[in-house]
Amino acid sequence: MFLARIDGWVTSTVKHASLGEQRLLIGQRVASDGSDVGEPMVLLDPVGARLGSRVLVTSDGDLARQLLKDNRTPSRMIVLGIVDEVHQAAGSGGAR
Amino acid sequence: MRLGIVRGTVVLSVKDPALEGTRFLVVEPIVSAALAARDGRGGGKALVVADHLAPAVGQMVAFVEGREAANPYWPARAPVDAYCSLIVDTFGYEPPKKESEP
Repeated sequence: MFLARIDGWVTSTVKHASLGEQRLLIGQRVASDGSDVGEPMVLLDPVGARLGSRVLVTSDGDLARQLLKDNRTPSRMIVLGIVDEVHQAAGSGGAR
Repeated sequence: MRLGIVRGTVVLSVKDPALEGTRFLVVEPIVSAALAARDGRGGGKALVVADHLAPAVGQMVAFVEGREAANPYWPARAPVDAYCSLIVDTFGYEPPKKESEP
């Protein structure tokens, strides 16, 4: 699991049948100091995150299969929750 | 899933039987700067992505990588590690401004 910031959204008509009406957001993985890690990715969002939200993301494909009730789903990045606060020991890289 | 732009296709006549009916796309992943610029560039290292949706060259897609890329073939097994999950119609992208930018 990792923290990400919601930077955008995607709409799609032609997609794998399992993805149905799922909300699709563009997320940016962030480090503990808030800096970007890697490139933007598309996330499934069952919780209703907003632009700018900080979220917890799982890359667990088993959860995707359960959530979408489809063993054939080609997806695995899912928003688990919206982050309120991150507490971090001093000197371990300033949480934002 | 990562975002990418379709740059072409790969055609195989001799292939693993599990891949019958699968198309193969050459996809250039999109880096954040290219996504923000909306200029049709990708900027990432191109890869081959298995596909059943048939996007056109130049279209934006999202593809999944890893074990989940073979899920659509379940319960059969397929030697696929990247799969085109969807074709992007529209997108919004508003990352926060970097401190170095005005």
